[in-house]
Amino acid sequence: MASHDGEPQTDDPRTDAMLLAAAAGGDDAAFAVLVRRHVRAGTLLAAQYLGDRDEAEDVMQEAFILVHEKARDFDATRPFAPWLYGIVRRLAANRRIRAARRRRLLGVWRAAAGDAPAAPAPDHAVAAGMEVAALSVALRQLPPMQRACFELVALRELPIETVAAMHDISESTVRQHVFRARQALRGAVDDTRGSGRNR
Amino acid sequence: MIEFFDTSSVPDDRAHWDALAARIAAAATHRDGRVTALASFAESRVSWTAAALAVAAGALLIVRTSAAPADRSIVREWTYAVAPADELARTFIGSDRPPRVDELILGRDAGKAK
Repeated sequence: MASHDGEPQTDDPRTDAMLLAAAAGGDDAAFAVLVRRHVRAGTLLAAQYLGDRDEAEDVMQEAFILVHEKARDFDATRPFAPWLYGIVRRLAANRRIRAARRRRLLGVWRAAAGDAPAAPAPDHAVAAGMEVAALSVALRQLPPMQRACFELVALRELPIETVAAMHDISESTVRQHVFRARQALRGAVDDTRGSGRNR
Repeated sequence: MIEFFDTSSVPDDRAHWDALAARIAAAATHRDGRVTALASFAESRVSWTAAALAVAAGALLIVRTSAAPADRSIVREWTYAVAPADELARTFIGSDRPPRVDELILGRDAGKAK
């Protein structure tokens, strides 16, 4: 697969473990290369959990601060990426729980104060045409992990193995999710075309 | 089952990721550098010795400062003890300021006699 525009331009030949070992020895440049190598996938993963760019970037920063602090303890025989994405998932999930709790409390407070709930955001995608509308609906109806994998692989062009590490699932499971998502979306578009012809 | 958001709010160009990576790397290494400096100071035997010496020096300074008035009074007593016996000499020796005229005439207890 061709490299995505967001991927780092200059590739350091050192492995993640080598870069982390160098960073543990005080090599900040090596750490910067490691961050650049994983910042895109990690931030997209956090954004899938949180739905907010700023929050996702905060989580990524927290994760790399932890990585730098624990660099000396890292077991170099284990792959780095799953370890990093595990940290990102935990931090993002914790933040998501806190945010949900805040929203719940806010809802209770608003109800107690007699405020009307906020109006739902308009769905811009629906207005863009029948096929786009059908795709949008179908995309929303996909099971969460299918949608997450499809977005990362098909839209963000992340490698299968990266997505597998991000969500802590096997590569074959990622492929299966992407395949099924494509099938469902294609079916939705075909149905729309069919119904359009029948009119 | 956990719901996932779409990532459309995240910009996806190289310049953005370069800038974010630089910011994150700087934050992590800078923060960790401060922690490491503190930790290495705490772990170093030399730093502990230096800190102990500094505490000892501080304690000595406090003791000497608090003892100073007593020392000064001892010096004054010794000055009186070895001073000439006449009242005029004692008036000059026993004061930090020039003697008053009545002290010169009546001795250093001139004011107290009233």
